Amino acid sequence: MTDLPPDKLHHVVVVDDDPKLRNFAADYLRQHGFRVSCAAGGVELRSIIERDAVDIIVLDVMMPGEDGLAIARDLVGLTEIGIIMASALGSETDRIVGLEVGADDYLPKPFSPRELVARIRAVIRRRSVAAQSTQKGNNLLFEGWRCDLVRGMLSDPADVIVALSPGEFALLRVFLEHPQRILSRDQLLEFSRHDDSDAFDRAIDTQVSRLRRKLASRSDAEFIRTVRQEGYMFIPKVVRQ
Amino acid sequence: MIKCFEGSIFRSNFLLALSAASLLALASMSVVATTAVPFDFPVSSLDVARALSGESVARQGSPIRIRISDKPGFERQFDDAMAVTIERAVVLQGGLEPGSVRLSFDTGKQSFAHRQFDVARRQYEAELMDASRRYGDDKRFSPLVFGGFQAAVQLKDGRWRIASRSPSQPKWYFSISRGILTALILMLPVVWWFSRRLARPIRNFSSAVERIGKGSFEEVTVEGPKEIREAATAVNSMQARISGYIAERTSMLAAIAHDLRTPLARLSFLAADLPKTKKARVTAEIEEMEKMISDTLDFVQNETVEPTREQVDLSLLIESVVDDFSDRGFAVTLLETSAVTMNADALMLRRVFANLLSNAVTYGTKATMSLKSANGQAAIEVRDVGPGMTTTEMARAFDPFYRSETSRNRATGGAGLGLAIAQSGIKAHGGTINLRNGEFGGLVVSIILPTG
Repeated sequence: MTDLPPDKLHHVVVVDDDPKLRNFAADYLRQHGFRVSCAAGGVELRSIIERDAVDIIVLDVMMPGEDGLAIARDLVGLTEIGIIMASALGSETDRIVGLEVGADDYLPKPFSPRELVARIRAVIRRRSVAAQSTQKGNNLLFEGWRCDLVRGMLSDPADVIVALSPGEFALLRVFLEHPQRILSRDQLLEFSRHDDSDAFDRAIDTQVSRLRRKLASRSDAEFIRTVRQEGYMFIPKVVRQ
Repeated sequence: MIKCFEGSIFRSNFLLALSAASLLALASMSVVATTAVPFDFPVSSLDVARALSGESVARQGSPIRIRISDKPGFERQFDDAMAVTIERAVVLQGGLEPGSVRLSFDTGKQSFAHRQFDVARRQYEAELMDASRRYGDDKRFSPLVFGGFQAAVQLKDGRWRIASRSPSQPKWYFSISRGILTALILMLPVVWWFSRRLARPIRNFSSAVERIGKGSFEEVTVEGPKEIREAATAVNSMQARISGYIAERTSMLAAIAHDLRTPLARLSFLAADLPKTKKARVTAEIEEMEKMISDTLDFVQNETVEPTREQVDLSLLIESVVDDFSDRGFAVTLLETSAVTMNADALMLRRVFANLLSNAVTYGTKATMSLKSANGQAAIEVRDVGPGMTTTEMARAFDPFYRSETSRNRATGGAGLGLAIAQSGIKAHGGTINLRNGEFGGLVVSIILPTG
């Protein structure tokens, strides 16, 4: 990605009322192959959007004047722009509110620089996948099950919450976003590496078998098929809602 | 009538006691006013003389009974001046042999009625003695004989004719007892109703206050007597003040968190340029500070936010937490599990178990978890292989921000909130959490959760 000419680089706008933080973040993102602009608030952000194409906005929630949620709500209509909310509140409700206004991802402060990059890449990737499909929404439905991406929760057909470990949830998400396709171990690893938790790298097979067992404990259907020499495939049809 | 329950408790009680007393007094008075003369009329010495002579006697009240016997069955009472006086009058009026007649007021029965007549007799005695001194020798002198007595005369054949009388219980005694009893029975439902009406707002108030004490905020209904209305208003304004403080504390903590997290975020960007070993150390410090901040916010949230309720597969939830820990390289195993679903806040419970496991692996290096369920209860245990806790440490282990010298909370590097978060989360689900030292060492955290 770093080898692309500047006009092909993804354009990230960092919106934060803290000047040092937005400059540090901008420097780091530039080092990692993004074109970066900074904005101290909604007004500056809008003037950037008016004169330039923007791919991703990293938006601080708590800002004096117009806060991040209000800005996000206002910008969600612009489908070509991905929004990552960054918040120092870091509570679950805060995260849910952030995602419910339509942000693509939510990042609690203090995030590690690597994680910020990983999240930006993940959002860009997801948006390019989503651009191909016409479906929108944060709920993925399959065989009566519901995977709520906002709340990070999986419910079975009887609406009972089936808790997954973070690794398993990330894996399920990859399967649900690429259903009825053979995914190699490497692909699974790459797509599901949402953040820089290295725990997950360890044993994709273990994760898959655990996920399979948890799904099977509450349903008889076959969900994940092992394809010899190649990887795994998620069998059911997935509907986004 | 309803109006009086809005007055003070003092007034209500005063009115209740006053009306009860008045009703009883009224009952007694009406009985006294309507009942006939309260006791048996006395008989005269002439009646006794006729009875002893075997002549007919008019019936008035309790009858005089006559019998013939070999022995009189009682002694003369020379020390009873009244008895002696009456004996003399009986002898004169009956034309009997002097000394052949004996009379006693002591009938051997000590009933309530007898004691009543003793009183009447004592009142009469002074008058009688005076009359006896003046005209005791007159044949027409007829002293009255109050109450129970027995008199006897020896007949020519040596046997004795005995006349005796037992007074009946005074009528007013029964009437008044009956009156008071009736009044009591009549009053009972009134007093019961009245007391209930008085107690209901107090009971509502106290149960509301009890619920508030357990940590929920609710508006106490301002109703009932004046004192309770005042207390309810005071509790409501106290609650408003406390929730104001809590809101202030929460927003202050949020502000502090925000203010600390921004420089932490700056630090982590600065650390990105450091050499690898330094970077790892700085990052670890940043993470520790972040954990203190997030623990504090978790605790505040558990304490202030109502848990959301959804059906949750508890066994899979525990499994997922254990899996996450073993994914991250900790020695955590799930020994036993049991399929159970419950209505719960999945995120809150997850935080509880994650805090407990994090405590266990940090302080006790290895941890095991187990879940059993029976009779609508789930029993969860987290055991570690650490040194356990002393009794004093256990007593304060759940206090927020508590850290003793050897505290496991310090070892986790958090803000001393791991167990406090666990406890507040379990309490919010109506469960209990306890600590004990294991039979083979290590600390055992046992949780009981109602699964419905």
